[in-house]
Amino acid sequence: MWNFLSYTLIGIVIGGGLAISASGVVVTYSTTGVFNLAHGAVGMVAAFTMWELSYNPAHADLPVLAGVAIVLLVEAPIVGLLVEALFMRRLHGASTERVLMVTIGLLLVLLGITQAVWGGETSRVVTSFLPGTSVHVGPAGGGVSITGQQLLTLGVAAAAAAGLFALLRWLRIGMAMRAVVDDPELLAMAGARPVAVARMGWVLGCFLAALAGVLLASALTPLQPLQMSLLVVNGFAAAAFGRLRSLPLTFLGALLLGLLDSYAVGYLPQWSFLQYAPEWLPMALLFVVLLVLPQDRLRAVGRPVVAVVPKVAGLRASLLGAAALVAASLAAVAVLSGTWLTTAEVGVVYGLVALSLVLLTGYAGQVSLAQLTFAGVGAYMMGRVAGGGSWLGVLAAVGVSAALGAVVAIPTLRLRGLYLALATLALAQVATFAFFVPEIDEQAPVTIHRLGFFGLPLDTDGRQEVLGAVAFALAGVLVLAVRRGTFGRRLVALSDSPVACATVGLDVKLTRMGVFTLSAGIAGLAGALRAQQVILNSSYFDLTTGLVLLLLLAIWGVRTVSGALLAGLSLATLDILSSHAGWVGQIPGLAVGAGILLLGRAPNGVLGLRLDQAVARALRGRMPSGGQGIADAAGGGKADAA
Amino acid sequence: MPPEARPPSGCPAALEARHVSVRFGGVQALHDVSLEVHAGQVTGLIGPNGAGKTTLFDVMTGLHHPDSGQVVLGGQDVTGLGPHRRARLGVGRTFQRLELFWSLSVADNVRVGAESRVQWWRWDSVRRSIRRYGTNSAGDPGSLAFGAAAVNALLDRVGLTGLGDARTDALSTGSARRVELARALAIGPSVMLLDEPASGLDDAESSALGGLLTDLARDGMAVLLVEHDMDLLMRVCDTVTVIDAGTVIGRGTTTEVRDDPKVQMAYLGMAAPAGRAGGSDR
Repeated sequence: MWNFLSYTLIGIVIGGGLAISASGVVVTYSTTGVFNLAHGAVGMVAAFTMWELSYNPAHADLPVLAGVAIVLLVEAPIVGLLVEALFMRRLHGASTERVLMVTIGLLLVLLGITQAVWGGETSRVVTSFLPGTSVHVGPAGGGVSITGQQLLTLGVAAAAAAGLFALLRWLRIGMAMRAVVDDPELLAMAGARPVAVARMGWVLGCFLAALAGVLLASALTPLQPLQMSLLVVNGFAAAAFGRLRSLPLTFLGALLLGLLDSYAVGYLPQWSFLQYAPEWLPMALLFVVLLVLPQDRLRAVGRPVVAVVPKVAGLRASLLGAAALVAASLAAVAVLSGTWLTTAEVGVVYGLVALSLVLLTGYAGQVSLAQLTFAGVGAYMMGRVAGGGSWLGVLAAVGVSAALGAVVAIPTLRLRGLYLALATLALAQVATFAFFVPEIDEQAPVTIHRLGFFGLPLDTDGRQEVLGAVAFALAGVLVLAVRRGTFGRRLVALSDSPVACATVGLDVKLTRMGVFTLSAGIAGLAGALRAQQVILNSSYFDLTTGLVLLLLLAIWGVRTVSGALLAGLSLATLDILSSHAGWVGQIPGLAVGAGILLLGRAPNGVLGLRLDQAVARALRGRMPSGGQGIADAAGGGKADAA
Repeated sequence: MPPEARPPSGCPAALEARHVSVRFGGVQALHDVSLEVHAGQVTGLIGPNGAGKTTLFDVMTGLHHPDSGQVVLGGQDVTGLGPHRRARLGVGRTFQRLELFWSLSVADNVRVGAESRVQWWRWDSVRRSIRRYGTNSAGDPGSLAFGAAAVNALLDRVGLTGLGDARTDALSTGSARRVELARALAIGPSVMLLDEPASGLDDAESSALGGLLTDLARDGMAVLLVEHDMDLLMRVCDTVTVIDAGTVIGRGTTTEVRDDPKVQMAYLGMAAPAGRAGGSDR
C-alpha cells in the first residue's frame, strides 16, 4: 500500500518535470509552427551554465538562487532570441522536413558547444536546491517520503501551468500567440507583429526548457549532455497527447506518463527487454498516441514555394559515376591506410544508409528518423543467420529489414510530416532499448566472419572498403533508375501532393509501403556490411547517430545520390575529428552549424548550390591525399548524378 | 423554379450525388445536396464563395466522406471508395488551388496520371497501354508504358504544345491549370470535375478552354464545371445548378437559371439588374 503510494508520488513528480518541459515544446510549436527537437538541449545548456555559475568547485562563488536567476532570466531569453533570429525566421513557409532538420542541427550544435566548453572527464555534480528537507507521511520505516526538491518541482509545474494559462487567456500577447500560427498575415493586418509573437514563442519555450533543465539537474547528476538533451524526448509523448497544441492535455499526458514510468520501475519484472521499460515505454506510448490521434485529413496544400529540383542523372551518367566511385575506392586502398582507410570503409556504408534516405525522404518526402534501426536489424541478422557473416546472412538482412519496413509502414500510413518523424523517432528509441541493448549489448559479442567473394576473402579493411563502395555504386544506380521510372515519378508526386496523387488514381498507401520497404532493404544491406566491420554495439544504430546522418544528408543535398555518399563519408570523418583534442575537435560542431545556416537558405543543400561542378573541376587536377580528399574526389566523380 | 424540376435527360447519370450532407464542426457545409452529371453534357455548378462547391467536389471524388448521402458512379454506389479507386473508375478532377507535382516536369505530371491506369502485375494491361500510346522515344528509358507521343498529344489538346520539358513551377497560373487538366485527362476519365479552371486565364485562353470542354462533352464525357466566369458558363453549360450556403437553390438550363430572381439575389447580388447577362450567345 505504502509502496504503491510511494510510486504514485514519484510518478507525479516525474510527470511534473515532464510537464514543464513538454509545455515548452507545445508553446513554441503552437506559436511558431516549429517543433523543436533541440528543446531538451536548451535545458541541458541551462543546467550546465547553472553548474558553472553556482556549483563549479573551482570557482563556485554565486549563490544558487542568483545562478538560477541568471540562467532563467538572462541566458534562456537570449538563447531564444538568437535561435529565432539566426535559424528560424528564414524558415517561414519551409517544408516540415527542412524545419525538422534545422532543429536537429540546433540540437547537435548545442551538444557540440556544451562538449567543447564542458567536455572532458570532470564529473559535474549539482546538488538539490533544498538539501536535507523532506516530508514524511505514514509509519517510520514504511510510509512515503518526498524530498524538498520534488515538492519544489511539483510546485513549479503547477505555477507554470497557471502562469501559461493566465498568459494565453488574458494577456494581449498571449492571444496574439494563439492566433499567429493560423495566419500570420491576417494577424499582422490586425495590428500585431508576427515577428514579436514568434520571438515571444521562442523566449517562452526556451525559458520553460531551462526551467525543466535546472529543476531536474540534481536528479540527473552528474550532468551528461546527451542524456539531458534526449530526456525531453519522453516529453514529446505528453505533447503529442495534447496534439502538440493543447496545454491542459499536455499536462495531463505528462502526469499519466510519469505515473506509467514510475509503476514500470516499481512493478515490471527485471528481465530481458522489460528491464529497460522506463526508457522505451514513453516512446512506445508516443508511437501509440500518434497512431490513435485523429490526423489532419488529406487535403489540398496549394502552390508551395518550390526550390529548383536537381536534375536526375541518366543511365549512362549514373553508370559512369558508379564506375568512378569503384575506381576511387580502389585508389583509396592504394593511397590510404590506418584510420583514414577505416574512415572510408565506414563512410561508404553510412552512405548506403543515407542513400536509403534519399529514396524515402529526398524523393518521397517521408521523414524517417529510424533508418539506422533498419540497418541495426540488418546487422543483427547478419550475425545470427548461418553462423554469422555469410551471403545468406546478407540476404536475410535485406529481406528482414525490408519486411520490417513494410510492417512499420502499415500503422504509420496515416501519418505525415512531423507526425511521421515523431513516430519513427519513437520507433528508433523503442528498438534501441527494447531490442538492441538487451539483445546485442548485453549478450556475448558475436564474431561475424567477413564475407568472401568467389574464393577471394574480403578480410582486410581495404577489401571491405571496396565491397562497400561496390554496394553503394550498385544501390546508387538502382536508386537513380527507380527515380527515372514510373515508381520514382510516383514518389516525387507523392511528396509534392498526396491529394493530387489520389485523384489521378494512385494508391497512396501502397506507394508509401513500397518506398518504405525498398529503403529499409537498402538500410538492411548497409547494416549487414557494417556488421563485418566492428563488434556490434547499439550505439552504432541509435537515434543520435541517425539524426546526425540525416542532417548531414540534408546539408549535402537530400535528393542526390552523391549527397548520400558525401553524408556517409562526412559522418565517418566527423567521428574521427571529434575525437581529436583542441581546435580540430571543434570542426564537426562548426561544420554542422554552418551547414544548418546554409540549410535555411538552400533547400537542396550544398550540391544544390551548383558548387558540385566547381568542386569536381577544382579536384580533377589533384590527387586525393586524405579521407576527405577521397570523399570529395568520389563526390566529384558522382557529381553528375546529383 | 422548383429545385428538382428538370432531370437533364432520360439516361442514368454518369456521376451522381444523392442527398449529401456534410458538417464541419458547427458549420453545415452541405445540406441534402443532390446533383447529377450526365455523359455528353457540361453541367455548371455555381454559387457564392463558401457555398460548398469545393466540398461537394471533395465528396464526389472521395476526398471527403459525407455525413449522410451517397455518391453513385455509373449506377454503382462508390460512397465507401477512396479517391484513387474512384479515379480508376473514371473520375478525374482539377483543383481550385493548384495541386501540381511541382518538382516534376510538365510531361512527367501528365505521365503520373497516365501510368496510374496501368496494372503492372497484368501483362495484358501493360501490353495494351504500350500499344495504345505508342513506343517510347529513345531519350526516355523510364517511361515503359506511356510514350512521349501520347503525352504530347494530350499537351496539344490542352494547348501546351512543346512545353513537355518545362518546369511546372515556372508556369503561369493559366498554363499550370492546363497541366492539371491534361493530367486529369490522362487517366482516361468518363467524368471530369473542374474547379474554376478559367481563373487566371486570359480571354483567349478562356475561350479555348470553353471549346475544349464542349469537345470533351461531345466525345461523351460528363463534365462538371465550377466557374465564376459567367460568359464561359453560359457558353458551354447545358444545365446549371446553383448552391448557396450548402443548399441547392436552383437548377435548370443556363437561361432559366440566369432569369431566376432567387439565384440573382443569392449569387449575383442584389445590385445585379435582371437583364445583365441578356446578351448570351445561346
